[in-house]
Amino acid sequence: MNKFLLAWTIIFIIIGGGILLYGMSFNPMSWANGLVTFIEPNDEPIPWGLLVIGYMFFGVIGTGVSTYNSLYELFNKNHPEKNPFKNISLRNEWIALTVLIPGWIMVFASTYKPGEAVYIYTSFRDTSRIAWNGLLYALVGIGIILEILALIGEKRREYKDPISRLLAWLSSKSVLILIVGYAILMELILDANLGSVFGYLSTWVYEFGPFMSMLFVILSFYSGIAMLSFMTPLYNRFRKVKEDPNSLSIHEMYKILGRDGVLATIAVGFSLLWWLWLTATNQQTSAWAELMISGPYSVVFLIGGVLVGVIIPIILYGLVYKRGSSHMLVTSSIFTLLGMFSIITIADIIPQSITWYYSVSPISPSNSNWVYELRSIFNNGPSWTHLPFNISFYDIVFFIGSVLLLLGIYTLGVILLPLEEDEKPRHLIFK
Amino acid sequence: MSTQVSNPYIQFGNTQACKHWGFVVKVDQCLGCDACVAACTIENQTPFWRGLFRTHVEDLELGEYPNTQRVFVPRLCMQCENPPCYYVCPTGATQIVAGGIVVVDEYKCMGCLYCVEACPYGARYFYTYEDIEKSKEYFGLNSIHVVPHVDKCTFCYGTAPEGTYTPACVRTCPGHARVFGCLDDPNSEVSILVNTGQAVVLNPELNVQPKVFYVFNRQLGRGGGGNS
Repeated sequence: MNKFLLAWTIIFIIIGGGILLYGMSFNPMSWANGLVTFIEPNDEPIPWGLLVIGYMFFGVIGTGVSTYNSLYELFNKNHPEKNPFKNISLRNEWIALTVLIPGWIMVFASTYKPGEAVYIYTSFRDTSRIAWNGLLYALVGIGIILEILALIGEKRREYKDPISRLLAWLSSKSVLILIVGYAILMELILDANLGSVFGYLSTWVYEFGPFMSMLFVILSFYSGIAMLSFMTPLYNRFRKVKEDPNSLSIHEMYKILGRDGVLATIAVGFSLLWWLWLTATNQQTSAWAELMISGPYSVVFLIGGVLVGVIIPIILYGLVYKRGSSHMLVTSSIFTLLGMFSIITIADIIPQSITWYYSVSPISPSNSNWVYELRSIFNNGPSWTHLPFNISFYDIVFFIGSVLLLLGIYTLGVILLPLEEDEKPRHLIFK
Repeated sequence: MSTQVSNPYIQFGNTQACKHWGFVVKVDQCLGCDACVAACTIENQTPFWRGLFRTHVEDLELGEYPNTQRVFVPRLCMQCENPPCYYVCPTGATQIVAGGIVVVDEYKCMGCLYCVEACPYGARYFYTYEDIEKSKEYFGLNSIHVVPHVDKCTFCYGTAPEGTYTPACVRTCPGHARVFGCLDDPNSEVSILVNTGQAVVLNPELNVQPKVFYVFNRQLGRGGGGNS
């Protein structure tokens, strides 16, 4: 067993878990019932802060990694040699599952009484996007776990015990296609649903309802490709992976990631342009476009989203596609992930600004011109154009704790599971 | 959509006296004295120590000198017939009880704040653990809030048997600016004001069908100010 990996795993699980316990005031039961004083009172106009951004960020990356990987798995089932991720498919699914974990933690931490989340399942309300999130997260988790078991099952075909036979059955072609198809479908629906959480705020559904869903589906590919572009070269260097003569070369895999990265980033860039165009050319929403173009969130949008998240990645991914450089691939993925964080932040803030906008300027009785009077007053004032976006200490604690835990849980899988092509499971699903 | 809820505080007085309770605010008759806010605060133990109330009075100055006017607009939960807060609630904590009143079952609320985000009228806030502790300090054994939850106006639902109660703000208003009654009863004052078109809703374009209406008798707006 690799001692460095073992030490890394233990240290990060202890530190990450310890920070999370600190966030719960070392009293998980009270925390689950909203009875700890560490949670700050919420009387801010924007209550959804870093933890909501965080769970969207990690949730979309996790589903994106799995969807992207699974699509190559599905459409190359008859020609595995054409699948650039053939040798790392299992590892990619493990990345997807572990990246979802901080998302799950932040979902619960972003509520005041996480324990009551059980009511999502016991009294499910099908009109609530968050209720669907709760269900879909579970269904996606099941899909990825089944896919991992099926891929491990491919390595246990020579064993005859009942569990090995079950795993081998899962890995049979038709069942595997069914599992992979199910996982892809659930992941796409979850991404769309995550987007619609923001899309249906404040009953303002016109642009944001369907638009946010599509944006999040596109972002899942964009961020999934970026995550794999970040992890794969690093892992190959760390493991000193050798070329497999029966599959595409590592160089070719990098070029494919570069090509797909360019396409996904162009799609994201078009979506952002469309978002601006829609809002800026509508007299009721033009003020919101100003928030992104020249208002308080212009730096996050123009520098973080457009420059870092779109323009630079398109150039770098383009160069990767031409040269197949691993360094450039990692660099472009870092820019993309930073851009992704900026875009998710904007997606979190802007619809809330709209809610706030209505909350402070709601006087528009029927057949009255009050609405114009009041909006003109508020438009000239700082009350809604300079929303205080505060990140609380509680948010930071849970964000850092869950990310550190992710680093430990990922390597725990590397230690325990046969993620590499040449590794065989000896004890059920373990190495 | 009408349901029974598990919170005993809410269940009290849950009869079928009226299917659609309504509320009319006569803006011209509001003095801006905030007696309604004080009465509501005591009746419903809202966290006044944080400046949060179930109802408040907006003090608006419209126009530019010399064509200015000052208007007081009382605000409260609109008890929408088509409430966005109800639809987005993932745990079923937000419920519509008899009389069409939207309430929150505090035991089921997980505090995700989706309803706070979804309400277009900004009528909701979160009653925190600190607030519970503080309310015990102020109200002692009479403290009615037990666990942290999202809180909002309920037309004082459950404070007395239905059909006999009047919201505290209505009882207290010295200018009779607040009127409460059954919208199903054609002879009630609220029905007359609504049916004759004198009382109108805020933000009708949202199509949430509020059951709180406003009467504006003065010629308002276009006071010379603004950019319109």
